[in-house]
Amino acid sequence: MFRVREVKNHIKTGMSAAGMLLLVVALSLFYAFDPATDPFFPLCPFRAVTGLECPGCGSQRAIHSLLHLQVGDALAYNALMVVALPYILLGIWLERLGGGRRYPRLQRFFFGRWSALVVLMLVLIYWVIRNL
Amino acid sequence: MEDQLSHSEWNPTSTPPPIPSSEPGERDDIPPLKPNNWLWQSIVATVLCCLPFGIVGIVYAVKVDSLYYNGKYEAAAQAAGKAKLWALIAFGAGLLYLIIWGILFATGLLPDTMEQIIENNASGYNF
Repeated sequence: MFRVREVKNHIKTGMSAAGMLLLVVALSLFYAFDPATDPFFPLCPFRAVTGLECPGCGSQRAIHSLLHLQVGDALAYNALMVVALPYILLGIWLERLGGGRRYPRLQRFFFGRWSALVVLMLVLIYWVIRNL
Repeated sequence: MEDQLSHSEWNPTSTPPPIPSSEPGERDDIPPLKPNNWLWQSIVATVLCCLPFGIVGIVYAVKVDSLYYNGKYEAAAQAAGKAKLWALIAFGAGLLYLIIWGILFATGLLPDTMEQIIENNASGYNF
């Protein structure tokens, strides 16, 4: 019983370590190369097929801009991603790093009853507006 | 998408919620903990890759919350399972696309249409 749990914990630790490593590698790639000019960054499948921009289009260029501290450019490439980033980090902190237990009111405010609906609305609105 | 949304709106035919409209914690009766709705994971999937699966995940996140706060705890738990499933499908699809892209790129087999898009439209890069 305890063995199984221990092994599971080891696997979890290993996976998060691998995840962190991948993240660092990916961020260095996005720092070193510009997705706007280098052709090896993958193209959005939705955009390739429809010609329309999806809510995630421009994120690669926006990440490159953010890593070079060009916030204005990042906002122009994908404002939704730039806005979502702190929200995602907040979510990870609240849920995985114990922030939610220490600040339950914060969690209730940002990840409470209406948050998912608000997020869905924002994504859909952004999706429509950027294609007008 | 709009259809799913309207289904997930508050359903007046259901039994009245045990804790009407109050945030959890104001009255501590015994509802189960709200299941994880995988919201931030779905947002990551939506914004960084994997459309449209990330949005399906967000829709299920909405369902989790609306069902839970209407007292339908079992249905909420089921929706939470689907939210998780779709978030994972989104990441899996994104990973698969990335791998396929990498193989095609490395072997120079990227379809001509793709290369044309790349050459004509340098601002079109993303995932």
